[in-house]
Amino acid sequence: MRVILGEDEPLMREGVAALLTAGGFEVVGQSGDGEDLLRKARAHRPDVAITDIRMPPTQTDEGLRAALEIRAELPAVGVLVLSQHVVRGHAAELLADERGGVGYLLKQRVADRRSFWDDVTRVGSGGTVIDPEVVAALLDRSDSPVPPGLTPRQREVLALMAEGRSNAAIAARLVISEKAVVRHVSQIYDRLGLRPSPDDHRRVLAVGRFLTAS
Amino acid sequence: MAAGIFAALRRPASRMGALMVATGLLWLFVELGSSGVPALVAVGLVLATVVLAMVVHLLLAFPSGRLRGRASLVTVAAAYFVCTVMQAPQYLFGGGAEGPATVLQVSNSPGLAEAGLWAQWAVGSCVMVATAAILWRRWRRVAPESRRAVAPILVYGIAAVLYVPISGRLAHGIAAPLEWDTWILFSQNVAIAIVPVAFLATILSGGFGRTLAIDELAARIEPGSDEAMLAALTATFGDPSVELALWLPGEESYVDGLGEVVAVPPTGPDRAAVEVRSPEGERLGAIVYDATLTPDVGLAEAAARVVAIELDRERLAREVRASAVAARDDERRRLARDLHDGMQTRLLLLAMSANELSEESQLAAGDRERVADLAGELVAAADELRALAHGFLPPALVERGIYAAAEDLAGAYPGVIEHQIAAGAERPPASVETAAYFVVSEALANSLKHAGAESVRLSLARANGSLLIEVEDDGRGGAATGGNGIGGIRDRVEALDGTLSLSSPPRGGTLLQVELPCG
Repeated sequence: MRVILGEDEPLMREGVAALLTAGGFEVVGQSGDGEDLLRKARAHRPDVAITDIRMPPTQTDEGLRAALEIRAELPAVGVLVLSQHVVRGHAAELLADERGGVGYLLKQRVADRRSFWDDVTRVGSGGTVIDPEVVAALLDRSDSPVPPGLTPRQREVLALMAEGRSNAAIAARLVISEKAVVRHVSQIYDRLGLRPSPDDHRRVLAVGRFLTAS
Repeated sequence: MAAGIFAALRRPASRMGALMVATGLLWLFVELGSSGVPALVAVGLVLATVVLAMVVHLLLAFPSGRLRGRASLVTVAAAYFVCTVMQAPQYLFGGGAEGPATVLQVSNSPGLAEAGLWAQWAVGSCVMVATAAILWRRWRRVAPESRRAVAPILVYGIAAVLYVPISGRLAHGIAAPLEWDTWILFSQNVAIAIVPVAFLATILSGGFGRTLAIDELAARIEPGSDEAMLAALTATFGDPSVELALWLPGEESYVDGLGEVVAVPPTGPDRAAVEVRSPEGERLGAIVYDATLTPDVGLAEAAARVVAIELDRERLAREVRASAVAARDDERRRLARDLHDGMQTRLLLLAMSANELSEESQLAAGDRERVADLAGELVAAADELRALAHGFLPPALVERGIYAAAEDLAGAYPGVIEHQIAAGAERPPASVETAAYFVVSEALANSLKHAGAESVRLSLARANGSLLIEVEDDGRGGAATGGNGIGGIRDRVEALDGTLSLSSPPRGGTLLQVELPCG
């Protein structure tokens, strides 16, 4: 898989690049700011663009802006955004286009290299990756966007779906059968009014509704 | 007394007139002691020397009618003590030997009365000398060119207060003939009686009238609101139509306390204006007044100088506060950035290395596990650091702006909250965003912790180039702006030239409204 990397802190950039190389990824470009990342995405057409959110010149959300532009302009390029903190609006903005191929992780997830490699691969293959902490933060909220009419169990399943887990992984986590998970998932689709379509897509839509509902 | 009434009419702002009238009345009362009616004689004896204390009070309270400084306060208090409490032996034990016994006499002990008189004289002399010393010090401080104006009262005052104890001793010390005694008493009375006349002469002398008024103005102006300053000016000019216009450098116009544009120079007949400029010559505002009521342009100019000092002082205080708040915010930003970019990066890199090492096949299984634990610990440390940096400056605020950050605050509020957040097209300046964030978080924390509110309403909106914030709850109310939390908010808001209003009647909920100009 070919990736480009946006990170303004040189040490961190080198570290993540080395980590990706060790995982069998080909790092075809590195950038220190959002504009350069966008240029490199156009030039290299990688499978995934991984980027930090805060980058020069304003140190606010350049990385996210660049990621959204890449998604809009180059639909084949997945984007994985790394953030120092959980900021709810970021996840919502990334998931707004409902097409998958996006990820939002806390920066510290790079420390666990195997799961990080998995996450990058998933985004590169059109999947969705949401940091568990983002999901937890959303479920803790008083104005939690969980649609009314979901049972607590369905809520749990939806939260795990939002983290990007497969039915098998959800079943293992909740200690129920995979068949039960499938039943919950289809009930969730009904409640959210999602018509049948290729399962992966509905999954992304469900998570998107969940995260952008408020 | 007449002098007092005249002074009161002439300078209503000063308390001097009232004080002089009171002194005159008292004296009249004492003189009734000579009438022979027993009750009046008693009253006369009790109050015999209080006039002296009041004269001391008058002299030290000149010219504003208020006592300034601890020395003056102590001296006047001592004077009243000498003339009331220490007067007691005279009418309790004395009187029998020389004059008629009064209704107040408890025993006829001339010895005790004599001792009391001595003590009274000794302490009284100290008070008089102290009074003279304070007056002398004031005389020394008066600028040479103004000395002519205050000379009558200060010089005469010193002479009079020194004459009373000295002459009193003369009367008792040398075995003088009886008629000497009478003469000395009479001269004392005359010396004291001339004091109010000296006051009047001073007050009416032209140059000092102005100095007096300005002195009063300086004493009346207190730090704080423009209304207080306007009230002080109204009293000084004796003109209810006085206006204080403030100069807005950005708008190139004058405005009144309500922000309405004021015409300077004024348009009406008989209206006059004097500019208020800072010591550096910078235009600060103008005083508009009725020229028929205040023909003395010098007075208006002097008042403008006093107002200028006050306005300049307020502006400096505001600037100092603003720069303190800005410095604190810069420091927060720097700390948050250092924690992120420096420490957190290093911890994560270490965790990555440890994680890589934990998969090294040459290591024993037990060692690999320990290194994996180490990697976990490093991530946990990075996590703690992240929480710490969050406390310094919330990332949602930096990355997404005040509207998203306020929404997050509302979302994290554990109680019932209704919020209307109308995001403006552009983000407000960073300083406004930071202030707004702390306003919202402090207000929500207060509603939750102190007000015991059941529900809260939060609204943010842009209007007229300002950011308007409202936080209303249905809690127990009684919040005060001086409180720690609200006080901190007020500093931030005022540092940005914003306004804060708090309405929090007991058991009536709390409504906090803040307006922050966005540059």
